[in-house]
Amino acid sequence: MTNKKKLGLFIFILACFFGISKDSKFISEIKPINNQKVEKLQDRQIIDQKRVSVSRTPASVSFINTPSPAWENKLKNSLQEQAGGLIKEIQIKKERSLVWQRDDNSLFVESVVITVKNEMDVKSSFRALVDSQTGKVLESWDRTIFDPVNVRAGLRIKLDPRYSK
Amino acid sequence: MRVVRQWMTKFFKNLNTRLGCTPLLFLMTLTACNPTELPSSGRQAGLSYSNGSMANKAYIYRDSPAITEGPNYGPGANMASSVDKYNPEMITVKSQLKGDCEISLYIGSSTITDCIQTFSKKSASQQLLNRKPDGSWVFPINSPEFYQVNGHYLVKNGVDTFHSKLKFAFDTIYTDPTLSYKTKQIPKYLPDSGMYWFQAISNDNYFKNSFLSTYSLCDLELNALFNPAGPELCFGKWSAVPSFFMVQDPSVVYHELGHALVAVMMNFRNGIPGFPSPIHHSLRSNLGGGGYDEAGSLGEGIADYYSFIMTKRTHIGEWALKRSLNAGRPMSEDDEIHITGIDTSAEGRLSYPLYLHYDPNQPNVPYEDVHYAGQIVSHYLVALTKKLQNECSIPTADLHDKSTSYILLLLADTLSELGDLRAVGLDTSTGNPLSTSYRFTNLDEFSSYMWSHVVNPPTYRRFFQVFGKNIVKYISEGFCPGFTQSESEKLLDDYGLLLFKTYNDDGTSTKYSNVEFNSTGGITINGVPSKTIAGLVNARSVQESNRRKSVLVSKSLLEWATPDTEKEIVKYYVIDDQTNMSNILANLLFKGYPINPSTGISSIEYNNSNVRISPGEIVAIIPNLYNASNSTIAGVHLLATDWDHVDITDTTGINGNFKPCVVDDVTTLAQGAENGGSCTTNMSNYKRHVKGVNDLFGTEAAAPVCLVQLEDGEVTRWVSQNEFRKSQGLSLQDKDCLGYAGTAATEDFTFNPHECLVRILPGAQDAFFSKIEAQKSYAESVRTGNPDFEFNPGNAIIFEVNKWIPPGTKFRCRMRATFSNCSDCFVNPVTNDEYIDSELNGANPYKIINFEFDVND
Repeated sequence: MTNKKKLGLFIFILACFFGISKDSKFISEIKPINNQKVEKLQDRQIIDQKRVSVSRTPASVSFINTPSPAWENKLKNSLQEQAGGLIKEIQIKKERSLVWQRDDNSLFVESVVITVKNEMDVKSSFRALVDSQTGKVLESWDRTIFDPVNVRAGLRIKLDPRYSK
Repeated sequence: MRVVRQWMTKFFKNLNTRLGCTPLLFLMTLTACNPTELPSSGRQAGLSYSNGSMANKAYIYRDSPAITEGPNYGPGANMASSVDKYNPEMITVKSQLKGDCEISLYIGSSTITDCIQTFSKKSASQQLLNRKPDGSWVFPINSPEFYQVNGHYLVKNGVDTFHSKLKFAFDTIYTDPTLSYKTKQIPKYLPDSGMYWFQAISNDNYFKNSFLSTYSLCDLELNALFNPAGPELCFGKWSAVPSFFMVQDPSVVYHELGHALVAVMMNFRNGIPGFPSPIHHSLRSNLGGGGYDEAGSLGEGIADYYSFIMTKRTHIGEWALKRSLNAGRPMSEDDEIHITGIDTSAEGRLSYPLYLHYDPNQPNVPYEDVHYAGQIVSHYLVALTKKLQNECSIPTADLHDKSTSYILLLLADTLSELGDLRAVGLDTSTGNPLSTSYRFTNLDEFSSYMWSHVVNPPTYRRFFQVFGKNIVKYISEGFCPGFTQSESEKLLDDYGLLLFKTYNDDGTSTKYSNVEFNSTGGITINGVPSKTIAGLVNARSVQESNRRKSVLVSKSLLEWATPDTEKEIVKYYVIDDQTNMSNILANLLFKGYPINPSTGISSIEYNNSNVRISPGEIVAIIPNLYNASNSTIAGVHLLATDWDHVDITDTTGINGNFKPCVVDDVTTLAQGAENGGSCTTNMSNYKRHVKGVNDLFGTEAAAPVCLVQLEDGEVTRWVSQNEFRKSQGLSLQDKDCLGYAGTAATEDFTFNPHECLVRILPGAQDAFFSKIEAQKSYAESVRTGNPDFEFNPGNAIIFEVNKWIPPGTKFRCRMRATFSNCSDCFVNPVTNDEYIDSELNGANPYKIINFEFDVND
């Protein structure tokens, strides 16, 4: 076992220990031995509360979630539930993994581009920051702007006939 | 190293193709001396592929067939007759269809390599087009390659013009002695941050591409788009007419590019120089993209105007829009398409809010849409351009170029301020990023995206207040004194856009009204709110005598509609049928608003289509607000986002955690509300009411809008949902709450227990209503002249309802309304200054709209 792997194992055990000891709340507090090690371990860029990337890892980072590879499936299921069978295709493209120091708490998040294709085969994309554990979308932006020739063809909400005489 | 290997692989892969094509290449070389791909007649003499004069060039069309061939041509198109056969244009010196962005400023030049790239269709195997072996970009007319080359030329032309005008703006505001001392929003460090393009994208590797991709022949049906997540432009087709393409219309290409340039300008301030690379905000600002709102309308109007900058014509889409579905849009009142009564006189201008629904192609069928509403913006900008041409001593030869450069300067500075996610809003007097912790736009950097796009988004009022400020700063008191503040106000008023009382140019901080950014580039901190100090310079006032058409109305006159069966008026509409709701939710996702559905707790499966709110349903509510005034109310924005309206009583959450504050005469002390104490002060920060790592809630936070009525013995109280779920025998655990995404093994720390029973969905937390006519409800206003009217999804606020709610449970949701021509929504009556951003977290700027409902089967 290389030193790097030993260090990784040691930090993993530490993470498990702190996670379990917090009233089973699974808050994992990772106290890095030095900044570089944590960044390398997680391979994640850190963005601060201002959503600006920071080059230095804070001396102490407390995480309120635990990354799970299931985030992508959870996200996809959530989007499919919202789509209700009316969206033909949903693509999730991960751009990078990040740590977001949000609301005083640090979250492992994934930065993704989500592309959906509707029943007319039109694609629309947007960006999102997604919780690396739950697959919950925390922020979304960069939405597509459409300019249809027939602006009246978009979705409209029909009222129930009971609202008219 | 990886790059090199890919290149080698591609090289050898392509080599096979190249060798296979050798005989073809030989034949092409033989014919290369004669550009047979163009009609032989009319070509400019001396041009030849063999003497190098056609190197890197192609014959292009500068206008659509509707312009070159007349309005009756088509719709089947042969672009041969539209191509300029005399003046081939430089496409790119690169061997593939891509180009650089270069901006040459007085402080030096900056280049972004390969900033635009052009493709035919979007596909997994898409490849950039290679230059022809003869060195030219001349491809058979009407071929996919022809449209790629032309699309590239048009976009490159539009981008180069933008950077040329940006150079004018930058050099002027930083070198003109009348302007150099003034505060500016176009940052001096723009070339260092690379934010004059989509450069943030590559430097911190946060985004994928630093180039704008153009797809000339997209699989879109009579549609075009700008996708900032690419970023990319896409131009569609018309299946019914196989030779008809959107890219054939340069005005539409420039319109889409206009959206991209708006996105660039809104993010000018979202990157600052850093070492070893610039530091960028990870989110990006933009105008529009969802349902109807004024931000989207501004975006469409500015994009139309960019078409005017490029084509010099005050009409967009003569080919792509008009020839297909008779949907072209004018940009000047003297366009013959307009109805009688619209003209270039002060009275005849396309004014706000009268013409918000005006479709010049179907004037008798008004319609709420961002493109129609945006016509007011484009008409105003064109009229302003013509005013500046008349009054700014511009040489005749430069009239269009110079006057549109002035407008682009104003747009760039305005959008730069509105889109500032770093929230600083200003720089030091030497043009460096401000190092102070005080903030001057969009509240603060922690919640700036929400503030600048949801709570306080660009509206016609907000945009034209900043735009008007910049006219005075740069034009009237800068390089064109002939166009005075009064002239500017008169023109704004002609369009009904003089919606503000002051220019709010006193530099007040977003959080503290005693802190100001002063004219010398420093910070002044007063002991009390600055406007209470005699002698201090107040914000510049609008000359009230100039306000003739821009009518302002008190927020007190906005209220719920009174139900009237005869007139088919209801207080609010409930949409709870499965078909409608499925469409609405799918549309929300398509528009980029994922809702994180509460699986198993609420679902469309529970929707029973009884036009009431029932347990388990996901329902859309369209509030029918009534205008009790004698003037039109416009740009109504109803917010159901979390705000500061509660007193947090314990941080553990065991006892429910908060009590509602008294914010109006609806929720009283007798009903469980509190007054005084922590309810008397507004939070200066926006903070969500969720648990922290210490398992405690904060002592101050913005709370969700919906309270629930708790029967407590003889007394009924309005309480938090967290308190209710723990009482009345409910004992709902987190996992039985809405919005909880944890599992048996993991907790969800983004969960808000104060929306356990009723949750307003992300992306549907605010509703926008274009206008409400005098003495009418919204429904009556939009139905006028259109009996088949259907509502816009942007009119709806969408609720998830917990399936465990006991039938009969009563809710009160404290929404907040404001509108663009409101007389008392924007100025603090105590300080007589505009409300600062932190006050937008409270009740004072708004009319509280209490939405009450029972949950019943």
